[in-house]
Amino acid sequence: MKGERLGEFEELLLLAAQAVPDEDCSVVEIQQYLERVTERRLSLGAVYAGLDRLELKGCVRSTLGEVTRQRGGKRKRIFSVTGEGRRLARDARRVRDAIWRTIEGR
Amino acid sequence: MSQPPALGRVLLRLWRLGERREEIESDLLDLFERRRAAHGLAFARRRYIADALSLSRLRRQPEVISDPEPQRGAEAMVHDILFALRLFRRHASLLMLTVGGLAVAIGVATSVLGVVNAVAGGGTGISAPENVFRIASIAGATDRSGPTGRSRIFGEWTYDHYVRLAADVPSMQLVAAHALRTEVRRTRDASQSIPAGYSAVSGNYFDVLGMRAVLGRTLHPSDDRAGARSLVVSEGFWRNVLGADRAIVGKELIVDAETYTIVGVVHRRHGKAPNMDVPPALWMTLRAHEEVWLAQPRTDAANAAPRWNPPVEVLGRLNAGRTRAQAESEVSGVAASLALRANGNSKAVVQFEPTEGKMRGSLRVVITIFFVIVALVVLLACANVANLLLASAASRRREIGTRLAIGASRGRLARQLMTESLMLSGFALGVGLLVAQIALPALAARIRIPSEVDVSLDPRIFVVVAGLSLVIGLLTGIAPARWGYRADLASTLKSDQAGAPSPLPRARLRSLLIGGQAAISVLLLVLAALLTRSLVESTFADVGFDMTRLIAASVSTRKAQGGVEGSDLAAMRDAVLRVPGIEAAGFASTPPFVVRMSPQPLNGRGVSRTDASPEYFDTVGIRVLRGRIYTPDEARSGARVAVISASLAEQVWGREDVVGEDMALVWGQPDAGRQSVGTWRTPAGTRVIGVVSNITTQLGDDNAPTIYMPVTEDSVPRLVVRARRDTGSVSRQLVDALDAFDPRLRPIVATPVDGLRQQLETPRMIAELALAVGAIALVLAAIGLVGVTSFVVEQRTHEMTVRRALGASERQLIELMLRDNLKPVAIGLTVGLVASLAGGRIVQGALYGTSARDPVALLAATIVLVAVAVVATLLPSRRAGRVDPAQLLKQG
Repeated sequence: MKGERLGEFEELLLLAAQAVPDEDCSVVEIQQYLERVTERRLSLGAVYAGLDRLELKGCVRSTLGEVTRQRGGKRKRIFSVTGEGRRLARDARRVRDAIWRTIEGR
Repeated sequence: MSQPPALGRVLLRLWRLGERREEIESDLLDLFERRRAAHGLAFARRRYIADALSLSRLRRQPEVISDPEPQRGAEAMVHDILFALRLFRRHASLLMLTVGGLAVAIGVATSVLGVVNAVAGGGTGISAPENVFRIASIAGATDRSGPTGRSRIFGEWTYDHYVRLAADVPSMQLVAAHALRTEVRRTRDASQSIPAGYSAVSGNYFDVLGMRAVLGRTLHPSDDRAGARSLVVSEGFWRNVLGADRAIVGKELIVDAETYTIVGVVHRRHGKAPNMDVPPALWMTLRAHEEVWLAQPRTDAANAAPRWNPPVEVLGRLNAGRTRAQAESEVSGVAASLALRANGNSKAVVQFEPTEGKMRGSLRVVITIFFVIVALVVLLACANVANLLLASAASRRREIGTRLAIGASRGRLARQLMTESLMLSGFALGVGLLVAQIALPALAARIRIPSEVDVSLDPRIFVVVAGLSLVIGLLTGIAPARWGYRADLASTLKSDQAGAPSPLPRARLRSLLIGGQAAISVLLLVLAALLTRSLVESTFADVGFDMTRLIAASVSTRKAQGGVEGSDLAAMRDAVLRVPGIEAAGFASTPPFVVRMSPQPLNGRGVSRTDASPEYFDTVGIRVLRGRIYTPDEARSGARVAVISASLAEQVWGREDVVGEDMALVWGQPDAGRQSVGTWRTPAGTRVIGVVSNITTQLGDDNAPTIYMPVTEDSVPRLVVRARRDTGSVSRQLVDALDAFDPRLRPIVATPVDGLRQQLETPRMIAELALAVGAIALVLAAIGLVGVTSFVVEQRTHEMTVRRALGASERQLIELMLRDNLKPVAIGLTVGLVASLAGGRIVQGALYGTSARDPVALLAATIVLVAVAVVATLLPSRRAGRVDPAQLLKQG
């Protein structure tokens, strides 16, 4: 089981959730941010499914935000990254960095 | 403000999004607005749909693991389809065979339906046909003036008659048609000409019969005037020969040597003339036909201005408020006055025949056979699919048990199994139609359908076939679906390979299907064998004379209007006999296999009349059994004498020795006190002076009852010669000799052997088709047997292992499998043989020289089927013998 590890897309989602400002961290913002950075088309379904998995793994937490005027009075879900999520993201980065150092130190 | 695309919104509604729906919908809307602002509406709409699609498999909430709530329809269907696809991939090879078989069957069915529809379907295309009658003049009303006005067959109307009828019959609107074949060229200098049937019709023909044009217009009465050269073509001719040119109206076409202007294309459903097997390709007016005919150069100065008066077919539509009886009495009155004028006899018989529902007997037999064959093959392929699905359902007991255990409903299972069979039949439909696209033109070419017949796939046939495959899908799905519906949780889970062998589910139904396949296969094989045997019989039939050395030459009889003079015939015969390769020569109106006879019914059998010179009998090899042949003097003087065939003597008098008997050839009803034969008019009191041996004059007319009479000036005699050795080189010499005798004769040479070959065309085509379909049927049955036996062997592996461990030999195990699996085949074979004996009546009409209960055909079909069945069962059964008893120990 993937459990404690992150898939590539999950990792990207986790990082994006940290990169997007906290108060705006909705599904739409994450999706838009990732499309911009990766220059790749992402379907909303994939983003939802990925965030669902991250939530199951305890990496992100979501709450329903305040009612705003823009969305016709409908609330949106705001994501925040948990301590566990930050740790997993850092772990993933450490592994990568270590490998890159080996490659470049040769 | 622009809305997101409807398709996307509909998709969203299908998905099971639960309480997240509102949130997701507003997210999508948000994205849609942003994309629209950044990239435009089209982009935003596209992405909206893509996003909506991507949400199909989203779980409701991460916390919820599974739900007992039934899936919503559309979503469940998508899952069913995806699951079926995965399953199909697992059994790809067997599936391809089965679905391939069904596809071929559907393809063959579509092609045959297409050809049959093109040739015979759709009636005559006459609107309100119940009020339209073909007016047949049986006798009496024919006059015999003019060269083309001389009707060769008594009882035909001529154009002059039609004019009188049209004027004097107020109860009906009458139309006339004169059908011929001709040559057509696209342009004047085109080297290639296309043979085509055409019909010269009265100007009101299309209007009265209610036949419509698909392009341009039909012919109108205004076209039936001097100098007009309007032409309409059939839709089939327009498609196949004129390349479906939509700008064809107004273009020119060369018919024979005359240029016509195309004014329209007749709708495919409307161009069929009554009494014609193949609809004409072209129609022109009778007036145009007359002018062209009269303008033709005449070779004979004495014959420079013959009167144009062709035989015509007369059809009439009852006017509103008039009855058939009124019309009949009016027509009879005109006919009687015509007969009185023509031959001083006012006896005329007129008959009204309906125009619809007239299909020639032999054609109906052929089409019936086609339909039976096609239906059986489709049935066979369906049995295969049903069997495969049943077998696979049986081998999926554990899967089904598991699904039940974790809460799947029975309806859901049944739907899954039904989806699979519907998908299979859908695949087969697609492939089958592709097969038909290829097979249809090939089939049409194989059976030599004339170019003017449109054989492209009719949309109606497409609908029929699509409906058929839907029915197939439902029918083949019912059995597995019922089984899935009834599946019992406990027993399905318990019955494992290692457990006690439980009774095979639906084993009886599967045996039934296998038996049915065997029965259908044997039926088709018997049919193929019968038709092949019939073909062989007719090829080598004893016709009562040696046809290999005979040649017939038709000579132009325009020379003298009443036919070739008796003295001319004698001189012609002398000239021909001087050719070294020719040993005998005579004249006859209907040489066997060269001219088609039209026998007249008498005592349930057709009687033919042949006008023959005295030398004809010796030339052909007809032996004198009683009495003698008429002498040349008797022939010249018009003596009232006749020679009849032994079969006719037997038929009329019930004995052979009838020399000296009187016979009368009269119209219609027999005269009291005299034996009457046929409907030809000859002087009363004709004496039978000889009885000769029987010959067969055309296929299916063995030992034809024939009356031979001296050649008169009314006869159209053909020269018949017997070559000393082979006919090949003599034909040329014969033509040369006739040319030297009189260059105006323009002889057309034909041999009885060629005639027989032509008459064998249709039986050969049917036999070939039956053989091909029989082979397909056999292969389908073999596929079914291999498939089912494989599944059964797989399921009984455990049992076989136990048997092997207990000491059964490999051979014994294979024998056991063979015995068990061949039992339904044996039962089916018996049923099939009984059915083919019972159904023999249907095909008897198409058989020649062999009975529908021919033991050789039955035996051959049985042997072939048994051989194939044994091999098809043996192949998978060998695996049963190869089980390893050690496997049992390992399993514990």
